[in-house]
Amino acid sequence: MPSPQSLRTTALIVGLIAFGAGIGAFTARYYPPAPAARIEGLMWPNPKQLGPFAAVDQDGRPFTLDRLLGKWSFLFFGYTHCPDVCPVTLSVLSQFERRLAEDKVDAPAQMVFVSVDPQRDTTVRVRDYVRYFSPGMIGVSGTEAEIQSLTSQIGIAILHYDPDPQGNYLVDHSASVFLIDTKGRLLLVFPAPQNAEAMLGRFRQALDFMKRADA
Amino acid sequence: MQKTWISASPPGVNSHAAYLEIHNQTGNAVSLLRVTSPRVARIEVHLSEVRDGVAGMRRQDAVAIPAGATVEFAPRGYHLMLFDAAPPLRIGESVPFSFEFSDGSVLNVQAVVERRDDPHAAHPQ
Ligand SMILES: [Cu+2]
Repeated sequence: MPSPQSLRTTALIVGLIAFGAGIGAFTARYYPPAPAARIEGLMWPNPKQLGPFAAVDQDGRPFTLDRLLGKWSFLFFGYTHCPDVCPVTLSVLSQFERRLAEDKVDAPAQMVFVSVDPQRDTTVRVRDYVRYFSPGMIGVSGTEAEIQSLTSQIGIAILHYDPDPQGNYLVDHSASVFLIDTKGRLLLVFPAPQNAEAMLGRFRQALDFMKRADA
Repeated sequence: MQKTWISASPPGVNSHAAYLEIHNQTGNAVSLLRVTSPRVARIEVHLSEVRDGVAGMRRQDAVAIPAGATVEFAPRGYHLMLFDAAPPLRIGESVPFSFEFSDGSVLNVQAVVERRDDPHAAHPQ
């Protein structure tokens, strides 16, 4: 029988550094827009307008606010060394992207993965990563300051843990998918666990609602 | 033990999650204490959790499996974290594991590396 001493009791997590604002302010906020339009996660009537940011896409081009304008952008923040939650969520985004095309949803959309691990996630690494999930997915990386210029505006929580002796470390990060509307406003949050069909339904509701509310 | 599989990793990523179901068919509660494999340098049992909208993985020292119960290791929940397989695991490869339990029993299982997340997605390469 294995004795308790045979177990490794050294905690993997010995410290953490937090940067970025908490996400609570966004998930806790709920504005009922109209009795008929109770759409879960909708930030209406006060969607946050994003300001300028400067990061880098998977091809090394600048990824700035203008890349979001005129499109419905679905953003997920994670890291390539994340083997469980991130691949599941990016697969959902890839399915969702396909469902949008199948259903001929009349709204230009883009799926965006943003790395919150600038130390390990180079542009090339992020490119290979997003291509695995979808040929059209955008993969954003950059320096810590560049990433932060975007994450701090959306309120992405990020916790980097200290590395173990092999150099592996974990990163806690927001689990939600964030919808930025065509005007660069944080319109809707899809909390985890996401699935493609439910996202499609809620996105359609939001599109209908915005046609009336934001005409 | 059933439904064992290892999630294939995107290019350049040498950490994998492995999933399975453990059925405790004995009359006693047992705990899973340790998992090892000759193909993988280090294996940890993790639990993915979302708290206040933040996803994190927590290492588990042991996983209790009550008598007669089934514990599922599945995406977004319990999983085995496989760090630093050398050489890297390949899709289709069958990987041997030993599961050590608190009653002293050891179960040897094979798990195949698969890409299950999204069968319709474009394949890498
Ligand atoms: Cu894990």
